[in-house]
Amino acid sequence: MIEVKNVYKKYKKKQVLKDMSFTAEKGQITCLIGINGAGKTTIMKSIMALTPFDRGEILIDGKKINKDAYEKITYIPDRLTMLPNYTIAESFEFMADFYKAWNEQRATELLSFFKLNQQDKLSSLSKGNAAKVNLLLGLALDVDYILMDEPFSGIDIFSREQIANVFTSHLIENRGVIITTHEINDIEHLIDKAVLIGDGKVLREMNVEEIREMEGKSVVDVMREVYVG
Amino acid sequence: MNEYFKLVNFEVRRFSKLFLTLIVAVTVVQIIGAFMTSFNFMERVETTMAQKQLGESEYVLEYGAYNFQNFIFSEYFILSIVFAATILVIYVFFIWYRDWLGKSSFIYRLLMLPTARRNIYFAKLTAILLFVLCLVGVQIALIEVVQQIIHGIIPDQLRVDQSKAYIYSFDVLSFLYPKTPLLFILLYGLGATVVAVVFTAILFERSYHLKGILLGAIYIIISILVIAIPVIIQDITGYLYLNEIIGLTAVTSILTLGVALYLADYLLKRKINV
Amino acid sequence: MDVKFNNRDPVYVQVIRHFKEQIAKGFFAPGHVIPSRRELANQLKINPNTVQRAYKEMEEQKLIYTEGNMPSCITKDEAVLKSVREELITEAVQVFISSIKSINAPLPEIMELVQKKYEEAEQRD
Repeated sequence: MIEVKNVYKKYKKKQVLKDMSFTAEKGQITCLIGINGAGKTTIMKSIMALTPFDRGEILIDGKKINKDAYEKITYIPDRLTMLPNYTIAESFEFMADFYKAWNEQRATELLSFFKLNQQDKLSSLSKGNAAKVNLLLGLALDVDYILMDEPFSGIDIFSREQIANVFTSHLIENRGVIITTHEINDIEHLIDKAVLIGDGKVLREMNVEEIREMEGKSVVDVMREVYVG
Repeated sequence: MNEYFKLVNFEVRRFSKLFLTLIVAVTVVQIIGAFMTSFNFMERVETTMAQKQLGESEYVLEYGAYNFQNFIFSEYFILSIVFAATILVIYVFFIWYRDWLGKSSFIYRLLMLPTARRNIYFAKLTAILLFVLCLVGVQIALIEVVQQIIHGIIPDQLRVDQSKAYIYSFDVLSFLYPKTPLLFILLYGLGATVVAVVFTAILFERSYHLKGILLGAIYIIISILVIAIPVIIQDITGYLYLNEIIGLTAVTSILTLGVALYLADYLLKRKINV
Repeated sequence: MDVKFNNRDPVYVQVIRHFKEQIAKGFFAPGHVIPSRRELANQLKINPNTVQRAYKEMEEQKLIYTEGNMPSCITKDEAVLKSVREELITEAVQVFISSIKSINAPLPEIMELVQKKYEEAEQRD
């Protein structure tokens, strides 16, 4: 379980995170929803210790993040995290070199799933294909938790469908996933839990099936209540 | 440890193309320099000898023979050294900033590697030192080559043959190649400390942004002052011997290096921002 | 398999309903092997945990059964199959009645119209 407990962060005089708290279970897909600037990316970076926070605590399976945790949790940001002059094959080599959790077989499988060419240079990829490589590098790690920042934004519809297919496949099974989006429509039926974020805090944390069952509301209905009032 | 070596290997390979280009450029410029200074010298000698009806030995008596300074103080040698040094100084900064710049942010990957983050710092520091040492090595070889070229063009009578020890006592070279192994370690140790201080200042900037530039600048000034304490004491009191100054500077440098490493470790672990 | 899910009813309820419809129509014969949890999630583009929940519920309602490590199958219990069919029909009729009642139309007139329309529809098919 990933536990975010009362996290505060100030950046350039703006309170980016104000008492942010939520949890994300293993084996579930947790979706952080909120408009741009709500603090979604900041909280992901905070979980990964890629940016400092002022107060509060973040635990991964009960422990603060340390170097070994990067074999257990990975983050797929909205940009490539490999040298642009590398080919996909060279990126694989790099990953294999540094991560015990790297699963070459799965990487190859994903390569054909996404119809990517190993010899392609990263800098020459289309936006959609770059997003797929990015996703691939994260998914091919045998980690328990995967954090994805806006995997659907700014890419074509077919790439989007392919990426959505990942969520229902064995590639995600039994792992804990946190995904951010400002557009819930694509994935409403894919997620277990929605965490509505606004202005640096959690406005509502809910199990989406429960909310449908108990209140007969869709995620969008709840969002309307929370954001529009 | 293993990860550290992997990272060093990675950092070296990453800069290797540009670095090889730099070495080729320096080599070409210095070899051209060897030819040009020799040919120019010979041309001057021949015109003067023809004009004034002098023999070779008379010319040497009158105007002096060719010696290695002709090359060392030529623009070819000086510019190539300055150029190489400039590129390396720029790379001291770029080796960090390149990871943040561009549409691909490699720093995400580096910071998410399952290894202590200080290894990234050590690897970059090691890479810079390796580049410097490699250039210094290439320069030794180049001096051999340049001497051979000069020997080939200028006849023995017109040339002063200088011993290696003498050549390496010239300003620039004595700085690059300190006489004793101990001096070598001290000088390059000081160099490494300076690079480490700059690295840590860069991490200040990367951690605290605008405020970080100020912090970094203050930090650099304090570090320089600490390293220079023995020199300052000497200036005020005139009390220390040269050996004592060197010894104390070694101590203050090690102290400064220690602080730089400690701060870098702290910033990378707790304060860094991507 | 293409199912359109709405966003307000629990997805697992919609999955169960989809199964019941397939059973009532006879597309899922008794003993018919159903897809694994992951296969179905993938086909329907929904969360595997949701499918898991639907399967659990259907297992409890005896709509499906699992023997050991075998894949789950549609029940062979005639009584259950019959009741599924009845349930769906009753439900549809209920919906129909409640909307027709609001117009206050008399039953005989409705019955006649239902028969006529049903026959027309059959002919079209």
